[in-house]
Amino acid sequence: MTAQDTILIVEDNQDIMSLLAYFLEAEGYAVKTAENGRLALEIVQTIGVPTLILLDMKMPVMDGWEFAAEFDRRYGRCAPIVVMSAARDGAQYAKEINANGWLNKPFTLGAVLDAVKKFRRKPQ
Amino acid sequence: MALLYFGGAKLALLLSIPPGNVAVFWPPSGIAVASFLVIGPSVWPGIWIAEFLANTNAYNFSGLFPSLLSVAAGACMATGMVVEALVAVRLIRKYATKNPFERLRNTIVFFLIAPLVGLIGSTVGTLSLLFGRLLSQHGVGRIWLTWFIGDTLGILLVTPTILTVHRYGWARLTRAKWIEFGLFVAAILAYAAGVFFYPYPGPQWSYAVQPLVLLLITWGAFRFSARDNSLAILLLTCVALVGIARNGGFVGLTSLDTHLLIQLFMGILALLSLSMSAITHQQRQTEQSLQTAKHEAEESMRHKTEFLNIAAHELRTPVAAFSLLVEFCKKQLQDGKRIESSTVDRLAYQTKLITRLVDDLLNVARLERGAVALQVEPANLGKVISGCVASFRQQFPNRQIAYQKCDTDPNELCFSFDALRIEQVLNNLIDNAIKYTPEDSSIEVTLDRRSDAVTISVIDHGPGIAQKQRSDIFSSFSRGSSDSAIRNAGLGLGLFVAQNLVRLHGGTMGFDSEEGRGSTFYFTLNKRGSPA
Repeated sequence: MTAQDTILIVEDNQDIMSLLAYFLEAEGYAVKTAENGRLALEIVQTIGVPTLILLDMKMPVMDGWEFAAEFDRRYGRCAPIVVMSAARDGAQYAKEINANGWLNKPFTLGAVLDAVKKFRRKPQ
Repeated sequence: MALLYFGGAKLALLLSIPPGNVAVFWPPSGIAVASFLVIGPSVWPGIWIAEFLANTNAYNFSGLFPSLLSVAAGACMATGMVVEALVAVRLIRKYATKNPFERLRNTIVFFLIAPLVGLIGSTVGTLSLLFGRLLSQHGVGRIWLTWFIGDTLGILLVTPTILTVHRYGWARLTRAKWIEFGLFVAAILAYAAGVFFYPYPGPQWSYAVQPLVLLLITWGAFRFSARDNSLAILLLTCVALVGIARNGGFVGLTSLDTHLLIQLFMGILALLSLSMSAITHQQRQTEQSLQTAKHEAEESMRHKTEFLNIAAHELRTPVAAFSLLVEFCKKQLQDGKRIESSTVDRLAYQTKLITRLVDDLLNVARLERGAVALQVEPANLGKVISGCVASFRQQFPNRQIAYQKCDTDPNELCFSFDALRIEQVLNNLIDNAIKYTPEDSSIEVTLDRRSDAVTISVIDHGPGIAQKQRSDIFSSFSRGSSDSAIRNAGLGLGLFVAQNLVRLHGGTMGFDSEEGRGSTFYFTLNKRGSPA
C-alpha cells in the first residue's frame, strides 16, 4: 500500500513540525505529521507508505533510530528518508540508519524544499 | 613483640664474636623501633623486659644470687635500649614520616637517624657493662664500636623490613613476578654462599664476582618493592653472619673485624637498595598520578564534548524553529497578509528558550570560575516564593502548583540574601518538576522554618530519579531520563546552577526520590549564615 505523494514529517518540536507542514503544503504537497516514531508508524499503517519521510532523530517515545529499524522491518526501505538533525554531524546519523539524505538544523526553507525535490519518490 | 625481640636477641648473641659477647648485629634494636612505630610507645615495658632478660641471659649475671650491681647494669642496658628506640621513633616521625621508604629524602633521613640513636644504646650499654664490672676497661672502645654498629645495623636492616611488611602486607605478586622474585632470592643466596661460605682465600675470579651484588641490588630496586629489598638485604646479612661464624674472618682480618666490615657493607647496601626503591616508588607514584590526571582530563574532555553536543542540539532546535518562523513571517508579508499575534508569541517563546539556554551556559561558566557575586540585601523569602509560584501558575495554567506556607510570622522570613539568585534556584527546581512530570500530576512548594534555618522544598509526583542517576544529579552535565529531557529543551544545568547558588549563600541542597512516586528537591538557608 502506498500513500499517493504524501510527505511524512516526524518531528517533536511543534513549531518546526507545523511550519514545515505549512510550507510544504503551500508548495502543493500532501503532508502528514507525527510527534514521534510510534505515531509515525501508526500513520504509515493508516495511509500507506509516504513518498518521503522527514525524520527527526532525538524524539521521545520512539526515536529516529527505532523508527527506521521498525519501518524497515515492516515495509522494507520503500520510502526515502531524510534525517533532520540538530546534532553537529547529521551525516553520521543518516549513515547510521541508511537514510537517503540529511538536513542539519537550523536549516533554511530552501534547503528543505531542495531535499524534498531531490529525494522524494515520484508518485506512481 | 617481646617474644620476637627476645628471640632476635638470642639469635644475635649466638652469632656474636665470640659467642655470648656483644652482638655485631642486634636485630632487637630494629624490632624495638618498628614496634614503637607500628604499635606505639606503649609497648615499652615489653621491650624493656625482653632486653633485660636477653642481657641477663647473655652476661650470666642472673645466677642464683646475682649481685645487685649486675642487675642494675642489666636494667640500665634495657633502659638505654628503650630510650634509644623512643628517640628514634620521635625523630623518624618528625623528620622522616611513619613510612620513610616511599620517598628518597625520608629514606636518607632514616639512615642518618639510625647511627645517631645507635650512639645512645651503645654508650649506655657499654657504660652499664663497665660500671656493672662485667667489662674490663681494656676493651671498652671495641665493645662500644661493636655495640654501636650492631644497634645501628639492627635499625637499618630490621626496621625497614617490619615497617614495609606492615605497610604492604605479604607479597601479592603475579605468577611471573613470583618466578622473578624466586630467581632474585636464588641469586642473592648464590652470591652470599659464593662470597661468605667459599673457603678463604677463594679463587681469584671470586673477587671479580663480589661487585655483582650491586647488580643484584639494582635489579631488586627497580623490579621489587622496599619490602622485598629489605627482606633480601636481611637474608644476605644473615647468610653472611652464619658464613663468617662458620668460616672465620676474611684473610688478614679477625672474625670481629670481618663482621664489622661486613655490617658496614650491609648498611651501605641497604642504603643504596632502599634509596633506589624509594626513587622507583616515587617514579611509579608520579606515573600513576599522571595516568590518573590523564584519565580525569580525558573524562572531563569527553564530558565537555558530550555537553557541547547536547548544547548544540538544544540550541539548534529552537534556532531552527525561530528561523522557520522568520521565513513564515517574510512569506506572509510578501503575500500581503498580516502576521498573527500567535506567530509573534511563538517567536517570543523560541527567543526566550534560546536566551534561557545561553543564560544557563553563561551561568555555568561563571560559577565554574567563581565569578558569581551575590547582591545580598534584606528581603522577604515568603514573597520571593509566592512571586515565583504565581509566575509559573501564569505560565503553565494547566499545571497544579500549590504553595504551602508555614505557620510563621511573615516578618520571620525577612533576612539578607540575593533575592534574584534564590528566585533563580526556585525557578530551576519548579521548572524541573514541570519538565519531568506528567501534565496531570501536581507540584507542591513548601516552606518550613526551624529556628534560624528555612527549608524550601519542591515536591513532584513524577517518575522519580533512577538509582544510577542519583550520584551525579547535581553535576553540570546531568539530565533526567532521555525521553523527558528531549521533550523539554534544557542543558541539564539547572540543578548544578541551583546547588552552587545555594552554596554561595552558605546553604545546602539535597533531594529525596522514590522511583514511581516522585522526588523532593529542597534547599536550606540559614538566616544567620553569612553568604560568601
